Amino acid sequence: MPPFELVLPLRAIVLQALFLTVAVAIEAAVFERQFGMSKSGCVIYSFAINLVSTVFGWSLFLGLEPFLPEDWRMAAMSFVFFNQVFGNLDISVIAPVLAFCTFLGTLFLELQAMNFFIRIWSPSSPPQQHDTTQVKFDRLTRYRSSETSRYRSNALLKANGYSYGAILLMLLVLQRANFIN
Amino acid sequence: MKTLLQSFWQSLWGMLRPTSFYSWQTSLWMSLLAWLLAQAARAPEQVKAPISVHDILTSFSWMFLILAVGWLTAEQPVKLLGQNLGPWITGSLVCLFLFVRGDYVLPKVALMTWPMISAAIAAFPEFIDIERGFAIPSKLRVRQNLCIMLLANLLLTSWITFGFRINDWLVDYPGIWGEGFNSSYFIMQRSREDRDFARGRNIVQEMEQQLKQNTTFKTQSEVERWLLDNQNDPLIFRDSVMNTLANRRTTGDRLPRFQDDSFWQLETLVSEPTYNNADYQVELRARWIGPRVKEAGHMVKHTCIIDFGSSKRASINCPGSIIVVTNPNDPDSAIIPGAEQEEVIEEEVIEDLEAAPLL
Repeated sequence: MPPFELVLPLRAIVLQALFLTVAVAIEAAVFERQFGMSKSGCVIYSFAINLVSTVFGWSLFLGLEPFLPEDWRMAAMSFVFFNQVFGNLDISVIAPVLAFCTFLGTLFLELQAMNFFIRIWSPSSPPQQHDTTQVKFDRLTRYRSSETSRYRSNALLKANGYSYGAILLMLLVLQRANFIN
Repeated sequence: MKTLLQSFWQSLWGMLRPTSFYSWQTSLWMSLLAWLLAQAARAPEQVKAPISVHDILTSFSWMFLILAVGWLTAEQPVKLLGQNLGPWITGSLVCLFLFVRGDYVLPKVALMTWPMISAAIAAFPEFIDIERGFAIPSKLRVRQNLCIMLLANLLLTSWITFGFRINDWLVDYPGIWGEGFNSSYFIMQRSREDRDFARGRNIVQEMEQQLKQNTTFKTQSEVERWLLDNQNDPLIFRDSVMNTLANRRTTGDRLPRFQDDSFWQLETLVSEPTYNNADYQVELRARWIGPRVKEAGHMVKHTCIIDFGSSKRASINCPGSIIVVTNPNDPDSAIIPGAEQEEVIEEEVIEDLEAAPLL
């Protein structure tokens, strides 16, 4: 009957490790500029929040997959095995919507994760909250120090935007290389 | 030779000899002792008790072995990229102890729980404080490392679960094997072999069986009726073929039914006979319409000829072998599974899928 052979998702693991590394590097660099934290602290923060969003995404997919309707599962299988989406789903509509929702979801999740990690790793919270009256330099500094949480989410948006762009670029290059093959 | 053996024995004994009562060697010897006692306590003729002395002693042996390995790897860490791998070795032993033993074997559960169990083993020493007993670590670096380690092991669990999930898909939908995985970003490339088309071939064989059952010794009009019915209503024919296959599968090896029945399109094409002395030529095709690389999936087909002879009764035979067309838009992709490759298949242009009209 069907062949008995174990198929290992090695490409997925390697690609995800690569994307995680790139995302962590870019986001850590952005945090370093925005928050003025130490390099290693930035790396740990961005690594942690990226891991949270990755693990959350995986558990969402793996948990929901058994309850998917047949044509959704078929689309998922097409995507995993053949990098294609067939079935009744229109890819040109689904993909941008899905990408945008993922971006927003990731942003929200990472913001929550960052607040959580700042709370449990309190000794070195990245933005030190000064009293507004102590800051007399300029508006930017005052803005940075007064509304930390808003500033934090702006920095996170920037960092996520850069890393998303980089990963998208890498995917495009991969797609192109695949196409040439 | 003798001195070599002697020195080898001495170094081995020097390593395994307990230096003090509290050492990993003691634990290892305890494990060995428990195992020997368990062997002695084995009584095969006895009525199976729910918990026997043998089982208890074997469990003790396992626990001491786990303790010994954990202790050894804590004393002499095995490091890879600065990360101590000891807890993951100990964790694999714990998973084997918990899930893969004699009467119940759950390799899936064992592998899926392995990262988290190992992470718990790795984290445990950090929570032990000499003065306060159990305490949440106060050092920032330790806290950060614990969080990262927990998350990384969750990611590892997701990867392992995903690996199992795609293998489950391949078991449930065996037709997927017939497509190439070359463009996938998730799994490694592999070259397709004969057995990857086994599902399609089984279907075509069953189609052939049903053709023979339904038309042998029938008159020409009855045969034409059957062929026309199949062309008008291919779903009925498919259900009949798939149900027969599924029944054979469940009675044989007690396995659940494949779920890819609806992903196969079964076609019976009647065409002008190319063989001499044949009245009809029927091409039986199973076309994969499930998840696939190109819009046209792979196809398995077999040509049968129907001959009415002098008795005016149908006799069916299917010369040639079953052909797999991996890419229906490209006639050169036809391959014949099995050894008999000497026969050169002259594939007609496949574009004219409209067969010669019946009747």
